Amino acid sequence: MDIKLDQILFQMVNFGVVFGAIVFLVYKPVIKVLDERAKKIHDADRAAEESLKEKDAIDELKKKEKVRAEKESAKMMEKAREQATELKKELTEKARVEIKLDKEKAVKSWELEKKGEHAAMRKEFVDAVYAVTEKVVGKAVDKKAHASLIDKGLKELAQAM
Amino acid sequence: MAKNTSVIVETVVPLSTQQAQTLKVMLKKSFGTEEYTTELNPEILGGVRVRVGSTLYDASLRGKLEQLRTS
Repeated sequence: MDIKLDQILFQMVNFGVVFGAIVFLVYKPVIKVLDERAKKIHDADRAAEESLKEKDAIDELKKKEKVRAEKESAKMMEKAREQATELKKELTEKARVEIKLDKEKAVKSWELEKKGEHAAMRKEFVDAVYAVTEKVVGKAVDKKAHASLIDKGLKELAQAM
Repeated sequence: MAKNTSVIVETVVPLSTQQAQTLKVMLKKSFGTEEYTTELNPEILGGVRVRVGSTLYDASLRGKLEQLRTS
């Protein structure tokens, strides 16, 4: 076999040129594209992670807000219940006082009416007694009875004087 | 009591001697006088009414009825 040194040299230079061209024209752009893609994927991952974190934070905030709202509503309900109880108590007391006053007024009015009727009846009775006594004494009482009345009167006067 | 204070005794019928005596004793004891004027007054209906000065002692039937009426 015949070794041709110039052929070997030519082949080596040729290989070097082709290698250089491949490295410069293919390898580097491909590496560049791959790096950019990897960077994009990495950025997307980071963005996704950020989004997830944000979502978690929002969820946490929502949960906290929900708990706070529940507590707030419970507090408001309790306050409203207390106010209602207080109002009920107040209205009941007011009604009780009004009923008591009305009752007292009615009893007073009834008593006054009764007293008035009683006084009127008494007056009528006394007037009747007065009239009858006047007539009976004026006509039917004799001297002896008058003497007895005078004796009785004198005894009363003895105590009064 | 002043000596000249008038005592008026009202009755429906005249006082008996004993009643007059009793009245004198009472007047003497309470007012220091035995002097009185009697008046017959059928309006008092019965009993006796004595006026000493401006004070009235009423033991008449009319007085009792008036008392009953006003009480």
